[in-house]
Parts: sequence; structure tokens; C-alpha cells
Amino acid sequence: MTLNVDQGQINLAAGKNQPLQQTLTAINTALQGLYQNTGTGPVKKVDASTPKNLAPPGQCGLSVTGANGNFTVNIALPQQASGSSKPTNATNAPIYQQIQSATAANFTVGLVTYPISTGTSFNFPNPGATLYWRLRSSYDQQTWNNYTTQPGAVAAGLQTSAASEPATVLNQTNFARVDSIGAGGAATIRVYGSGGVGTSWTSGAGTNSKVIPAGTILNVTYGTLAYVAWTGEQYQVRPSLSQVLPDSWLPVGSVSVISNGAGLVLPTIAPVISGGHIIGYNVTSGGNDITGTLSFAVTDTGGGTGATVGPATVSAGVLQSLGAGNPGSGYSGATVVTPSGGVSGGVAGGGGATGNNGGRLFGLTTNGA
Amino acid sequence: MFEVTEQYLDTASGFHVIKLRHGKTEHIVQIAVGHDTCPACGRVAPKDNLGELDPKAMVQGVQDDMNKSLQAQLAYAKKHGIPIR
Repeated sequence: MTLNVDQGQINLAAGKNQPLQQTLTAINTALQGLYQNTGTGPVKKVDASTPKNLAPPGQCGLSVTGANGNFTVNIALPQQASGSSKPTNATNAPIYQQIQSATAANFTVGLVTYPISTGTSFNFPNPGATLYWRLRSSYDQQTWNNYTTQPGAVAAGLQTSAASEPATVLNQTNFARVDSIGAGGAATIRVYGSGGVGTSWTSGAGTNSKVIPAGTILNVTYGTLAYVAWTGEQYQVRPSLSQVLPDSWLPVGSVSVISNGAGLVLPTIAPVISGGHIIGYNVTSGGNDITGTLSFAVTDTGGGTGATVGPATVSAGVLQSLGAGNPGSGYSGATVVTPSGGVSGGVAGGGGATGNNGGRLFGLTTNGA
Repeated sequence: MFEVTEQYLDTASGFHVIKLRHGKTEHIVQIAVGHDTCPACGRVAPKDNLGELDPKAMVQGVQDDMNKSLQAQLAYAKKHGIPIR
């Protein structure tokens, strides 16, 4: 059957039916004009059914490459070849491919036969392997042509860091800085980049890098040694290194959450004296960044003795009030209340200046900076 | 200016997570509201100051700091005619 139509066919089909003959002629004329304008032609019938018990197909091209722990196999069908001596597959019939690999060039050692398929592109993960490859083809999976062999052995190579989860043991680092500052009754952990507080930081894995947003972690208890990791969504703060090493987490650094008193301003207090007794204390300035217990010494150059202070109330790092204790006696007015302390102790240590985990967890860490 | 774009409580990690964003720049604010762990013995204790926390003010403080820094940068760029991206 052909989809080509000529005037003879039209005349034969229409017979003596003049209107039909004219209509078919007009349609054919319009089609020919369309073909000419668009550069197309009548659809050719293609028989894609598999020939039965035919001779094997022409040789297919085989190309195997290895990279990133994978073998990539590409097959060129006969109809895709070029040149005067190219094999043919005139009917474009499907061709079954059988791929084999081996560890020896003569395919006698470590022979692996992969599932037969009509596909032409395959990917076989096999990190670190070096293999020889060959291919044979068939129309009916019974009659095969000769093996086409890939010249030489192909190495798959190893997986690169670009294809790895962040926490796998590979060549990676980061340029995050992690520190803590006192913020009243609790500390703040800051994670930031080399541009300073609030700037994002860079994580490097192999030759790749990505930018991670900076973070401010509030209401952290003093005296803790914290390990910080980035999950891709938020920061995690854990008391031990092993807890921040899940595969999908990115270790950032560690920090000892202590206050060094850098921002500490001690309060000033004026005693309220009546009849030689201290009956109360006025907080004239609450100070700032008080992170630990305050102590108070009451001294008097006029001979007053025995007075003590009551409970001190600190909120958000500021002394709110100081209760009266023992009123004492003999206080004349030349009385001074001297505060001291106010700095949290915490634990020592907590990360080195350049990280100390074998180069895998690299965080510049300072305490209370 | 930095604005709050998202916030949620993650009970698994014990953090109130607040995300600030200005253009492509993100800043993560997290308020620890979960438990504390003793660094010596590992004993876990719940936070005892949650009633005193004012998360809105805490976030506002960070937001103000970030915006102050951002404004300084923008002023610098404007002064010297540097394009911003």
C-alpha cells in the first residue's frame, strides 16, 4: 500500500462521477502544494515488526566510559552508523543487546552478563572496578552476531565528593566561626562567616562549595560544651560530637558556652540608712550582661558594721533589685556597697582555633568573643 | 530589610526556628526552648525559663541588629556608587 496519490488513481476511483473526480483532484492539488511549501511528503508505511528467524543484525557500535564510580555504556545501532560500508537495518527493527563485562581481556574471569534489552544506553554503578566490555546483538534473541569488544579495560573510578552526603568521610571543610556571648541569664551562640557576625559562611566539599546562612541561637544555658551542625534547614546544637554526625548533617564547629565577662557592667547600689541601720538598697544602675552570681560587700568608714544584703534579682543580665538583709548598726552615711562577680563559670575548652577533628570538622571557635 | 519569612517549633531539636530574609540573604534565629543537658553527666532537664522569654522581643533584637548592619552597607554602597546585587 502506498499513500502516494496520482491523477490516474483519482480518475480510476471516480469513474464517471464528475463531481467526485473534481473534488479529489482539488484535494490532491492542495496536498501537493502543501508538500512543496513545507518540504514534506506522504507518510511512508513502516513495518516495525520483528522479522522472525532472520540473520543477525549488523554490528552495533559499543562505547563504554567510566567516571564517578559508574560505567556508562552507549550502543550505536546499525542505522545510526555512517560511511559507505555501514551495516544496515533498513526496517528499523528492534535489536536486542547482550552486554558482558569481565576482569580479564579474554572474558574468562569474572564474566558478568547483564539483562538483555533493546535499550542503547546503560549506567552500571561499580566504584573502583576496572573491567573489559563486549556486546552482541540479535533480532530474535536466538541468532546473535559476533561480539563487538571495547578496546582495552575501562576504569569506573571512585565517587567524587559532589555525589556524596555532606558528612561522609571525604575532603571537606568549612569556614564557619562559632562563638558564644553572654545575654543575661542565658547565652547566645553565633554562627557566622569570615565577614563577621551575621554574614553567611561557606562549606567546601572537594572543589565544590555552597553558602550557608548565618545563625543566632538564643537562650542557651551557660556551662555547656556545644557542637553545632547544619541540617540544611536549621542548626542543631548537641552536647557531643557523635551526635552531630548523621550523614545528612553538616558539622559546623564546637563552642564552650561560657561568658568571659567582656560585656559585663557591674551595678551600682546606694544603701538606705535610718537610725544607723541599713534598711534597704536602691539600685541606681542595674549594670549589664550579668551572667553569674553577684556578691556584695558593705563597707563603712564611719564605724558601721554587721549589715548584709538580701537576695539579688537579675533579669536579662540587669540587676533589678537588691533586698535588705541584716540591718547592722552604726552606719553614718559614709557607706559603700561594692558588687563583684557576675560572670558565669562554665566549662573550659571547646574546640581549637582551627578545629581539631582530623581536618573534617574545621571551625574557627572562640569563646565569649 | 530583613523580615520574618517563616517560623516553627521543632520539638525534635527543641528549637523555635525563625527565618529572617532580605533578598537572597537568610539569617536563622533559633531560640532554645527544649531541654538542657548537663555537660558532665548528660542528665536532661527541661528549660525552666520559658515563662520569662519574650520571643518577639528576642527576634526583634536580632532583626534590628541585622537591619542596622544592612543599612550601613547600603549607605556605604550609595556613598561610593557601588552597585548592589
